Amino acid sequence: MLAYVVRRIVATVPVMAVVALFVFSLLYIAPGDPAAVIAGDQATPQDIERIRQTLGLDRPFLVRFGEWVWNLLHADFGTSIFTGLPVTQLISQRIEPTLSLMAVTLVFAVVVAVPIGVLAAWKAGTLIDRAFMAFAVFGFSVPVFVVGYILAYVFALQLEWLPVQGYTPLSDGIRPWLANLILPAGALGCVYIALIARITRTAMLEVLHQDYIKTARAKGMSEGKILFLHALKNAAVPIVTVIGIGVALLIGGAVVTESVFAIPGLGRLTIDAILRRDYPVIQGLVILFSFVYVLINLLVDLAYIVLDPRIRY
Amino acid sequence: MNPPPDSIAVAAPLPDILPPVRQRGRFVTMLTRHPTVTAGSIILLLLAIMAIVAPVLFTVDPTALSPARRLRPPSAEYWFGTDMLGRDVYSRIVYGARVSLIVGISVALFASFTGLVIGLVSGFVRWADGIIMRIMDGLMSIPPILLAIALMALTKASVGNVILAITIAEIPRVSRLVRSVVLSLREQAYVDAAVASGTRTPMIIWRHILPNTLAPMTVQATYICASAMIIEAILSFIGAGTPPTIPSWGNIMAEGRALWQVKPTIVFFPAAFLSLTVLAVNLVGDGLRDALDPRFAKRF
Repeated sequence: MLAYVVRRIVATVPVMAVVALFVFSLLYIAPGDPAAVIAGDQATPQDIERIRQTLGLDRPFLVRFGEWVWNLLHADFGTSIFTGLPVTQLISQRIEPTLSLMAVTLVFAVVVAVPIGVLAAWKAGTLIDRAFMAFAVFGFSVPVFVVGYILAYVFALQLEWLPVQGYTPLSDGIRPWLANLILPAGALGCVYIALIARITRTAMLEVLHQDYIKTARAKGMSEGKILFLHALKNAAVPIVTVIGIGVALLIGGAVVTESVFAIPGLGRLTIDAILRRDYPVIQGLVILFSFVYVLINLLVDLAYIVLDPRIRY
Repeated sequence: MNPPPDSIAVAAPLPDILPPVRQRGRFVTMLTRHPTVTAGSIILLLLAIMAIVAPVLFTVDPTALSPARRLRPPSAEYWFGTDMLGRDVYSRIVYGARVSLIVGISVALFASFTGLVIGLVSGFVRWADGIIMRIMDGLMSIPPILLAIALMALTKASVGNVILAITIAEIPRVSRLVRSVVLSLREQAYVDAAVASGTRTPMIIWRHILPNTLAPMTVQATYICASAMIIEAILSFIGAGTPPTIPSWGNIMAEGRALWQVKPTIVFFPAAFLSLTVLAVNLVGDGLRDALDPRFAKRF
């Protein structure tokens, strides 16, 4: 088992290397002069030259790449062109709201989606099942910012139950923190819930046909125990897998959700960086988010060992 | 010739030509059996017609400014009201359908084709497989929206660049799908038979592999189309997509964002059209998946 864990951890190294190489080489393979694009239309030749030097475009690719990776490994993500501040500082200032949003959404989505999927599989083919799966199709189709505006309009503007926008740090208390996160988490969670509910239903349907479920029924075990103890446990591997894969949706959606709800997190940092064409910041954010994504999927892979002891590589 | 005795039954003589087996209506049967495909297709067809004949659908110039008529509520003259620059929101939405449909369809085609080629190479050329798949693993671990954002930050805003950026973000998924289909097909007995009888690899790919990748590819392409439309809207919404001079649903929402608490209609009308379009594409995709994969259909 230890060998599997070590092998799986080592396997993330080439993946992150490809991510780093790709994000870095974009500067070189982009059509046109990236320094000129980043500098914008009103830039003087001096501005362009300064940016070219900041980005190191005047030096050989491999030398720059080596330096850049070396710095990355020392948690140095470079310097923002626009603000002149270290990228790590910009990121650490903005990371709390984004982490809070993603964590609340993750918990909320799993708590809602898994029971929906189990119920839909249990009642497969009935009206309940159809209604849930129709909801899932809608969840996939309505973009996250649209859900955000609808939720904000109904619950904040019309009913005035929750704040419209903004973010309160966790240090100011859990209630105000959560109050500000409920609507964004609801919006961001929509696609994620649809995804998890669908996979849960599929995985459960597969398991519910197994003989050991019939045996459990024959023993007179209660339906609740059969569904959640026997079936769900055996359906766990695909469900956990999709929870991990779906984090990519959360990351992409968080950027937009933060913009709808005026949350000062990494999403806002991303958008500001794009508008100012602050490429070092974008590089840092893409690397960071990809790292988080790879890390979560590593945890998912390691969770297989606990969930399904038959899995041995 | 003597007529046969009554006790012997005689079969009716066969007609000279057997009537052809009725092939008619396979397409129609599929449509009636999978109502979601029909519903989705009809909605998409109507949207496509709307996008093509936009100029004659009682629209005005979607970029014409008239500051005197800013922020009008929906009325007989301005069906969906006007935005803060006095532009007719209805006209902008009708023209905006062009961007969404073009981006969705182009990305689906380009990503499918490129992914197909990469997947085939990966499935057939053993030494390339490892390298290609490591690269795809890396690309897949960058969330698609972020990848598209990073690409857009380095290029000038244009519809072409939006299509290119989203295509690059979607290719890894198609490649993986094609590769897995190819690898499972290569184990089939009929492929072994073809190899044993000396068929060349290109012919095997053309005759045995490609036709079998078509069904999963079609389903995948519809999902890519839906996801491309959403990503385009998101990119435009955050200011990194279609240039503001071209009306697109994401742009209309981005412009309405500042005032949405006062004038929610400017955001909600394009949002409704975008959601309806993506829903239609997803309905077609789900229906096709059920129709083309009988194993899947039986269970659901």
